[in-house]
Amino acid sequence: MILRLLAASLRRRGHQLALIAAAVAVAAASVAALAGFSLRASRSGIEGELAAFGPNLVVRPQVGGPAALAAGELERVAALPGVRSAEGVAAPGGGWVRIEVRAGRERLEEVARAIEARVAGAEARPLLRISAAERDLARRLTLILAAACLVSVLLALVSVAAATTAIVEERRVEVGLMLALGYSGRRIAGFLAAELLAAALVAGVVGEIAGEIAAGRLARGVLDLASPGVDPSWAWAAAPAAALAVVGAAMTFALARIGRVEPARVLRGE
Amino acid sequence: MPFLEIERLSRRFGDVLALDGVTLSAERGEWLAVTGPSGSGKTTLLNVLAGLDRPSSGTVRVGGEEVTALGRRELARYRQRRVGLIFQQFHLMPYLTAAENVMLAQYVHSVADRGEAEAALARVGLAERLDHLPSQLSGGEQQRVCIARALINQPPLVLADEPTGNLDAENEAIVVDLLAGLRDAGHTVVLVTHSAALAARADREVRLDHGRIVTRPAALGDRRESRAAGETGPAGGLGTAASGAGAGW
Repeated sequence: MILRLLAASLRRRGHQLALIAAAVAVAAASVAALAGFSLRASRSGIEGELAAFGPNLVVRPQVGGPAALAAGELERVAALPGVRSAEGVAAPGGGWVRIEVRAGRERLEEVARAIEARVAGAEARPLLRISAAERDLARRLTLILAAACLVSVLLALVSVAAATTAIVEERRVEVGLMLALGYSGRRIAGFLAAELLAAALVAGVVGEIAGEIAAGRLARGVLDLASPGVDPSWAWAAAPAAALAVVGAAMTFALARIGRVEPARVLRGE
Repeated sequence: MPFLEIERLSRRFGDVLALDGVTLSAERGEWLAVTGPSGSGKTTLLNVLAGLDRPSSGTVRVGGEEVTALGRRELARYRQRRVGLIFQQFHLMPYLTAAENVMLAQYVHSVADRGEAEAALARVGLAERLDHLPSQLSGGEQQRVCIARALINQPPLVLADEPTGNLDAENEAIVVDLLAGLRDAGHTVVLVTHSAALAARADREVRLDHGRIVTRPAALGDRRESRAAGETGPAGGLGTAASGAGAGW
């Protein structure tokens, strides 16, 4: 019965629910874009230090010193405590232009100091993939996305509340009849919630996909970050959560309006 | 103890006193007609009995339960269990079929039994119209769907607000027979009407004017006894319809 009511109502009010779904989808997409982008930016920053593979420390000859590190220094660096791997980039005249080292993050500074102590004329610096400028750019973009996100969520709230109000107004006689038959306002609101949740579900999925695509493109285009691929982190829950929050707030609004319907007057046609 | 007891019931809308100290009672299985000019308070009385409106003062008891003391939630439960409403405008869901409209009243109890809904529609002569939308039904048929919906949960109190107001003579006769059948099946029926002929079919007629009872109700059972003695209704009154509907509730 509830499915029949739901299907019939969805058919009759498809255009209104489509508008609601569109507004919620935009809000969900902006939330997903914000979540996806900030996650990528923060992960790439951390990966500079915590990458499972690849170097996180670079050893070079000191400025003003020899042009290359001696050939035997690679083995010496590799043998130091805390060094997991070391690879040298060969210099044209022999030796190494630089040695790329992978060390545990917690011992990075200690390893750097040990290298500089053991390898004469060498300078060891932690290797980060995001520069301070890039980090600043990422932070600003995140703030812009957050502002856009806030605006789109507020617009969605206003438009969904307006559309929900219109739906309740249109259905005053139905609501009045159901109240007269003995349905409680809460239960009638539940029927309305089922319709809105169906719209929110679609909007949440569409918004998540769109937001994820936007976040990936933004991260690639602006910060030259590769997409982390499917990530089961909280970012995936952001868009559906935003869609549900918008619809939930609109539902509270609708519930209040249903509570104000006076069946006796409505059924008299007033 | 009467099934329906109304004591000193008043309802004020601003400066207008729609009901002014109405006192009335009805037994189980009695058909009461409430007549009076427009604005006399008939519909207001019906709304208070249905728990759709609250009186300014006075009490209403239905089956010993004081309706006027019930909270919002209890009133919804009261309407679910004790009241069947028949409207002049039918108020059917336009996108639900006849059977589904009847099931809507069942579903208030979280149970929808299509077989029962079909049987209810068969009793009002609509066995062939189960899957028709309201727009595919005549006014008389829509009113019969409304009656089937009002009765599907077997409410002891049936409240009808001008149920024949939008019907032609033939359909009016069918609906009147259905109401008589309800009374015979033990439902207490309170009917609001402008029609003297329809009121004459009831067990008692109460006339309201400016919110007050102006005609002293005939003693309970007078017309019932008359009917039992084989007297017919008033000249030009509503005869028995050929539909055969009305019995068996």
